[in-house]
Amino acid sequence: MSIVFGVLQSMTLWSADSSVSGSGGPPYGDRPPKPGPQPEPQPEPEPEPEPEPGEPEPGPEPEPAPEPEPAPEPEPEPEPEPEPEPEPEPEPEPEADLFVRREIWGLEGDDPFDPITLAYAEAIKVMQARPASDPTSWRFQAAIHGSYASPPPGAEWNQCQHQGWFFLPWHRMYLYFFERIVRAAVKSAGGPADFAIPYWDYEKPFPGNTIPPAFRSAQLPDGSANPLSLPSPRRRAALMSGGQLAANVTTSANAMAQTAFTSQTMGFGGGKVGPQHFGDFANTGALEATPHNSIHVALVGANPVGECEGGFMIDPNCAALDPIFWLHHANIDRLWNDWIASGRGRANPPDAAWQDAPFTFYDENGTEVTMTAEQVLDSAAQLGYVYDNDVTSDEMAPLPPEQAPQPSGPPELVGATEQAITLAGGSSAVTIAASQDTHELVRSAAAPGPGRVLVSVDDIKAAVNPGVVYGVYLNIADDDGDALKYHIGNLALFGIEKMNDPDTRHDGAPGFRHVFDATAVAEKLTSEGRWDPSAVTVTFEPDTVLPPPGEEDTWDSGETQESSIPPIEIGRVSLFVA
Amino acid sequence: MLTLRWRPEWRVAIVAVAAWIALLAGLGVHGVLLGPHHDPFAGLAVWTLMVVAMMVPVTLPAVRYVALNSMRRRQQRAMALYTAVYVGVWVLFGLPALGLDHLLVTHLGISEQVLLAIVLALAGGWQLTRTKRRALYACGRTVPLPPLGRRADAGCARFAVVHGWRCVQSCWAIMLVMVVIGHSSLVWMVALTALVVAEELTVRGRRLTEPAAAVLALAATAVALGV
Repeated sequence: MSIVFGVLQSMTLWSADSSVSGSGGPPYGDRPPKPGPQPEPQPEPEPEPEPEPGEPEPGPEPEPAPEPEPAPEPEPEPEPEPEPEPEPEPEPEPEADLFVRREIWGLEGDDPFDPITLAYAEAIKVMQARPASDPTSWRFQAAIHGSYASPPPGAEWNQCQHQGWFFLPWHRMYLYFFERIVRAAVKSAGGPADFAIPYWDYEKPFPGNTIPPAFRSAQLPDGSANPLSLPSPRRRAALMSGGQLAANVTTSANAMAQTAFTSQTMGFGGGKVGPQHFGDFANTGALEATPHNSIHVALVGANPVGECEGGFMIDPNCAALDPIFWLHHANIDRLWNDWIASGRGRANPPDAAWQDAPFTFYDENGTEVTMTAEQVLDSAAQLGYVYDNDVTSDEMAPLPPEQAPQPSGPPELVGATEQAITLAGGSSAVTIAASQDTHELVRSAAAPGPGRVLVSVDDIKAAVNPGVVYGVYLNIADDDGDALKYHIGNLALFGIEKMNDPDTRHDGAPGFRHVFDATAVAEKLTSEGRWDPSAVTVTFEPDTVLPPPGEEDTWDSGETQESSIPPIEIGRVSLFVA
Repeated sequence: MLTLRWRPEWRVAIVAVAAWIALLAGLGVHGVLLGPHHDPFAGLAVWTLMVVAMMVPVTLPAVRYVALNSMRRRQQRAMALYTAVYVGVWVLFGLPALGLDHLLVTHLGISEQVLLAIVLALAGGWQLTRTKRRALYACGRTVPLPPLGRRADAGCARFAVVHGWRCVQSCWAIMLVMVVIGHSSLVWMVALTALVVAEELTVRGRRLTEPAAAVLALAATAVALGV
């Protein structure tokens, strides 16, 4: 029976319990929950004193590095308990504190297995040992997103929301309840009571754009198998060897530049979709497209995929089996907060159809719960968590150039390719000639002002996800040094399996179209005198993993040459202006 | 005007509304419209009207897709071509269905009540099949629409055939009920149109597939028992 979550603000939050963390011999550090939103990360995992109400953020820990091996956490008192004690009953702590989701690279510091990361790994082991029919098990939780297995009677599996405006709120709810389940497992094992899922900000420069070491190490500090680490083909070998994600894969610039959450052309959070939406212009939100979809695909690469036999992250039915999935989605969730905080009219949809749509999950007791977007709009006030870099609009770094205002009418098709093209792992380019009678319109849309230029990749077919992120560029030339200047987005077919499944019970309809807002690049091309309506070239460039800095000549990516890349067929590439 | 610019399919929607008005007017004049059993040719004309009234609303998103993905000067032509071919697919389905109905009722003397009970049971059973489910979930599939010339027309027609055939796969059994009933019952027409539109166009409607099967089975039983 569903439990409708009512007043989430009244939810009791638990802070660190020294009697738990200090006496039972858990291999974790401990840290009290953050008293409120703070701009600075707290990378140190060592025990800290309870903050006084209103006390400013505690400073850095005196100990520079945690213990190399898991060890009982020392008590703040002079005499730590030498003997393990039975696990004490958790006790409510003073409430109103907030859980803080921290950036994984900041957490790890010099030691990959900081207390939070180690607690996450140990909790995963506990969850993986539970039967798949248990809603708090690893497999059940992953199956809520998607699964090839038949669900137990009544289980709410295969619920993930993509290619539409429910993408962000659904994944926020999903992550929130998963985090509660993990936290309960962590606390049961005597771990940090303030556990919160870390996030991975892969947009940061090296080493931030590499898979964190704790997710590459085969073993935990105690020598046991590390559930955070998945070798190839589960993840891309080059990334597991320390390679860097390409900038066009990790960038959120295009998404953050959007000013509308949802619109009929292009928005940050996705379009208002129903079952029969025929690839409308704005189905997939800009954030969902890049970096979300791109990261899902790039983390696996061109590995053979089957029903969770290959890479996990690339397939919605397997993605949440990879522990890094949750860090990825925490980052996407953080970007949503940042987008709202950046102001200038950015806001969530007021539509009742969006705010009131119910979704079902399971809490840490395995109880079915129902939630709506309206209940998750403010992560701090409603769900009790913040990010270590949550900022206000005044503190935001300068945003990319603002997108033009929303057009008053639908985009107008001005040109399209006549023949289908096939992408099979290499570069490919098509040239679109806008119809002669629309040239003035096309020039006007690409000039600074309210006009918009959209590039649409239509009627996409692929038997399997090829595991390649194709960067899409406009009028790029061979001698262009900074390709990112002409980058309009990525073609990453995350979810193609769902689209191809004729028996899917998944809500929503297949989306065989990717639309890119090319306005900013078109304006740049205009300013450079390189915008010609009779010849607009769209180039598809496969992504590559870059070696770590300074290791360009010696780095072994660990990847072997694949025999062939599964093809993608594109029925039409079209140019729209609005 | 702004909404209408985003909704170019409104012209086709008006055609569907006109078909409903014509059917209702027919009911008003005759009390019971001409049943297909009596005159298959008249029945075909009425069937076409009924297809426009019941099945065109289902395809309005596709009409919109065709319009917004055609060059502006070709939009109305593309919508008209798509709609005509789509309705044509349903008319082609109606030809053998009406003929068979005429044969069974008029020449073989099978009771309309028995026939109705059979097709209602068939419609209920079809709701639960894999083919029905696949057809319903394939509704967003598109085909490339070339921008200009005869290739553009051909692409449009091809899309209408693909979508029309998918729609027939999804709804043929329900429409068979209307073949047997004619459209003498406004209640049946409205109820079945509501079901089809809900299934095809709404998220929650997708979940009506199985309950609808139960209702159709109950209706079949009731008709068979003469309730």
